[in-house]
Parts: sequence; structure tokens; C-alpha cells
Amino acid sequence: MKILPNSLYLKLLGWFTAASLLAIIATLAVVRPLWDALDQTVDQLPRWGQQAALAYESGGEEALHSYLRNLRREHRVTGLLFNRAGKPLTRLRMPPDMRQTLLKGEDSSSSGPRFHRLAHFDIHTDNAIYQWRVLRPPPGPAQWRTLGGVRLVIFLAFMALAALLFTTWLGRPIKQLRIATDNMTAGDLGSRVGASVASRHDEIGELGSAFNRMADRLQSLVANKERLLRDVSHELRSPLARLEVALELAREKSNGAAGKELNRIDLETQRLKALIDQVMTLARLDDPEAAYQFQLLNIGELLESVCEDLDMLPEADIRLEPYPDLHVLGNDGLLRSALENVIRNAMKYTAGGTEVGVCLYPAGDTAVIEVRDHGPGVPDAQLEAIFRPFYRTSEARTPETGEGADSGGYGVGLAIVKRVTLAHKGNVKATNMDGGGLRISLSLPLAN
Amino acid sequence: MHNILMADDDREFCALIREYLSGHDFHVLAVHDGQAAIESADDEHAAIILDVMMPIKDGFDALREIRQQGVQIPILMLTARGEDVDRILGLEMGADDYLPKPCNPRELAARLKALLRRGLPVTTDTAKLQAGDIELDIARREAQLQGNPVELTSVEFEVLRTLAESAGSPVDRDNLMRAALGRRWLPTDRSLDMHIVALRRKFGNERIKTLRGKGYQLIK
Repeated sequence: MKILPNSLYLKLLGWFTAASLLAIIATLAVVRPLWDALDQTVDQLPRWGQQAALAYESGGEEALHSYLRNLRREHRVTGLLFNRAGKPLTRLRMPPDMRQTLLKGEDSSSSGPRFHRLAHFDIHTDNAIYQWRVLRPPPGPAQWRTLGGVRLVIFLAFMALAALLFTTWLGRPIKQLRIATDNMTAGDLGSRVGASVASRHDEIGELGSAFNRMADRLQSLVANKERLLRDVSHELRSPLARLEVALELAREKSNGAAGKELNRIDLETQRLKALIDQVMTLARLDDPEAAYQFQLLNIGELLESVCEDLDMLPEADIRLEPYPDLHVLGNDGLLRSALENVIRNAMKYTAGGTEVGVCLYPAGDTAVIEVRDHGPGVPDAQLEAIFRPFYRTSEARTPETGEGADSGGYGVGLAIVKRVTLAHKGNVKATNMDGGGLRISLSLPLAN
Repeated sequence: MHNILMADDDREFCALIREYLSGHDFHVLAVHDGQAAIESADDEHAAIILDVMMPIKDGFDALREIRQQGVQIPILMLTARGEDVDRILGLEMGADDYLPKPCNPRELAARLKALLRRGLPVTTDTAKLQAGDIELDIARREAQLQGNPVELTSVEFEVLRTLAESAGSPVDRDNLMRAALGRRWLPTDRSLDMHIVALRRKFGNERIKTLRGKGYQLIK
């Protein structure tokens, strides 16, 4: 992999280094304030100064010396009492660096011992004013454990925060990519990742722009394919129109000589016509330019009128269950053609002498239309695929069992159903029934 | 022999139709664009066949201009098969019948005959029909709404007349189709709906009711 100046590698390296450094600095910086908070001697320091001054006043240098020595032994606190002019009032054995710090009255933290922090107090007695300079002891082993624990917690908290920021920084664009991919899979070919991802100067940004380029290409390929299908269908109409007239002329001139053959040509012509109708309907549904007018529709009435129309056909009887009053926002013509296609499909596949069951009921905020046949059903693995145009099931049906233009497959009818329901923000699915037969359910959002 | 004007840009198709229809007592004059159709349209012809997709002016434009010229002869539109019926509904502007193309020429001939038969003066017992504030003069084939004349195509007039004859009770779609268009109704045929839409636009939605499963009804 080529490492670019702005590559993910450098960004990751920067992130982790910065986060670790910050965490380390924080744990170091926290030690002194933390020690101040933990050290119980802090509050006592002025009181001890007072007592040292009193010892000096009552017993002179010797009493002061023994008090200070005692203090150092018992509390590990090293103090010196000075007079107002800054002259030490006694001497005490102690390491030279500590003495130096106390005499100078300055805590040079670079050279001085880290935890012997110097404190100054002015001590007022009845007779005089003294300076009390005192060095606090370093933490003991038990205190170190407490300190270490707190520092570990702080370190972990810092790293957790850094990881959180990092995940947001890295995770958000990846999530956007995933959403765009999911939308694409669901059929929204216009789905793209936003500029916030595609314009990033790293591998994720490159992935984002690559995704967008792929989506563009895919969309134009699909559009080309559909345009080709539509154009071919369109162009087929003129020769077909001429064919039909020529066929009738032949019929009249032959005086019934080739009636059977001519009937067959007629039948195939009708199948071609039906197929072209459906392809054109499908192409129009895919046309983003086509704007459909939506209005408030009583879906039950629409369903009933479609059932009535189709019930006149000879294939099978339709039984429409009583239904409630449900309204959806939709396009009358589109929904009519979707319902017609679903029911026609069921009529085509239901076994001879059986009914096609149709019902409508509300489910949550959707209206569900179920169409059930008593046919052979569809292999479970192909339940989604039957909604693709010209999908053929694995056991191809022979033209004898199929009727019309789409014999041998599902043709375009169910693809039209799917596009129409999607255009109404609904969805459609097929299920095999326990007792045999296929059930196709359309759900459409209810108005309001 | 009836003279028919046919406008379609597919010359071979026109020639075939011309040959076919000549065997059915029609003489076809073919033109190949919308402008020519407008110029040739006159009452010398018994009917006009108009294709929608034509160069220069499409069938809908030609239809509108022909009607504006005051030519009242029956016009049959050949709509593109697979075209959006809703679009045609929206553009409904006075054609007497619609046939999707490719079409069966027998069907074309039958529809032309139905249109021409209906165009003949009708002799009926009642010269006038009244339904609510709609009045029909059968002999003169004129309609009035609240005393104002309403322009109707001959098919629209027939649909309205059939409805008016049994105003107050429904007429099923099959009977309406037979009376107005001279053929039986098929579930997939929506040309009757187009005429109903046109009539509702002219007389108001509330006057023509849809009765589910029964058909259409003109209110009294």
C-alpha cells in the first residue's frame, strides 16, 4: 500500500500518539494536586509551626531543636523556624538538598525532590513573628498504591475518550457508507454518500468517492438497460401493428384455408402485445420524470372494483372477504394495475376449480391486501426473485400451463406490483402457505 | 362507401389499413402528420382516425384544432399501447373513441361502423329528455345545463342520453358501452371511464354517481 501524505496510516498514528501523550501528561500533572488532597499532614502544618515557635520561646534553641527532630521522626515533616529577618533559629540534620531548599525558601522543582513540597507560614506569637518553612514528606507505599490507582483510572478515562472521538471520526463515514450501500441494495440506485465522506483526504474518502463512481456507473447501466428494453418494445409496436392488419387481410383472402395457422399467429400476436404493454408500464414506473398524481383513495372500493372486473374472466373465481373502510394516498391507475396484476397472477396459478382469496385489513398504520392462490407455490429461495422482471422459476413452466405473454415465468406483472407498492412507500412480499399455495401481501401506508 | 380520413406517420400501416378497410365499405384518405390532418379534416369525411404519435403536431393537438374548426364528425384516437391511461384521461378533449395501437383491424372496422351508425339521425318517440337541470334535445343532439348549451361529442351525448333515459337508477357499464360505443364492455377497456370523466367535467361530479358493482347513475 502506498502511504500518502494524508493517509489513514498517518492519521491513525497521529491519533494514537496524541492520545497517549495527553493521557501520560494528564497522569503526571495530576500527581501533585492529588497528593495535596490525599496528604493529611497539610492541615496540621500551621499548628506545628505555632508549637515550634512556642517551644522556642519557652525553652530556647534546644527545645526547638528537640521539637523539630521529633516532628521529623514522627510525621516525616522537616521544618525550620526562622526569625523575622530570615535567620534559622536552630540547626537540624537533614539531606543537603532539603536544607538548601529550606534556607533559600524556594522550591526549585527541577532540582528539588519531587514530593518535598515547601510551605511557608508566618507564625504570630504574643512576642514576635516567625517564619515557618516546612517540607512535606513524599507519599508512602500505601499512598503510592492509592495514587497509582487513581492515575490508572485517569489514564483509562483519557484513552476511552480518545477512542470514542476516534470511533466517531472513523465510524460515522463508515456508517454513511453502509447506509448508502443498504439503500442501493434495496433498489434506490440514486443512493450516494455525502460530501462529508467523499471529500475526505484519506482512504475512507477515496472509498466514498469510489462508491459514488460505482453507483453512478451502475445507475447509468441499469438506466441504459431499461431504456433499451423500452425502446425495443416501443419499436416493436409499429411492425406488430402492421402484422396484425396483414394477418386480417390474409384471413380474408384465404377464405378460411389456413384458419388454424392464422389463429395461432393471431394468438402469438396478442401475447406479444400484452408483453409490450407490460414492459411499457414497467418502463414508465421506472421513469423518474413521470410524475404521478396522488389522491385520497378508498382502497377497499378500488380492490372490489378490480375483483369485479377480473371475476368475469374464465380462469378462476375470486372471493373477496368483507373489508373495513380504509383510505390510502395513492394513484388510482397505478394501484389498479398493481392489484390487477397480483390477482391475475393468482388466477393463473391457482389449481383448477379453486378460488383466489382476497382480503383487506388494517395492520398498524398500514393497509394490508392479501391475495392467496391454491397453486403449486414457489420454492422458498425464490420468493423474492419472482418480483424481478422476467424471472423464471427453476422448474420452468411449459406454455401449456402458462397463459398469455409471460408463459414459463412470472413475466413483468409482479415486477409492476413491486414498483407500484414501492412508489406508494409500501412493500410487497410472497409467502408459501402451509396448506399449499402462494400468498402475496401488499402493505400500503394508511392516509394520515 | 364511407370516406375516412386517417392520420398516421407509418405509411406502410396506412396502406395496409386502407386495403383492409376498402373491403369493409370504407375509403381511406391517408395523411402522415398532424398538420395535414387538421388541414384535411372536414365534413366530407364520415370519420377520422387519428394516431397520437405523429410528427409536426401530435394527435392530441390535431384533435383539439379539428374540434376548434367546428368539425363534429366522429374521431377515433389510436393511442400508443402501454401509454398511461391516466394521461389520456387527463387530456380527454373530445375524441369519440380510443383504441390502443397495435390493434386488431376487425376491431377498428367494428368501432368505425358503430360510430357511423350512431351518427345517423335517430328517430325516437321522445324528442326531449329531462334529468334534473339537464335537458337533452334528442333530434338536434344538443344538451343544456340550467338552460345553457353544453358542447358534447356524439359519444358523450349517447352516454348521457342512456343515463338520462333511466335517470335516478343505475345503468351498468355493459349497457352503456353497447348504447354509446356499440360494443360490449371488457374489464380492461377504460374508454367508457374517459367519457364519464369528460361528462363529469362538463356537468359537475355530483350529477353522475358511480355505484359500486352496478354502474353509473344520473341523479334526477
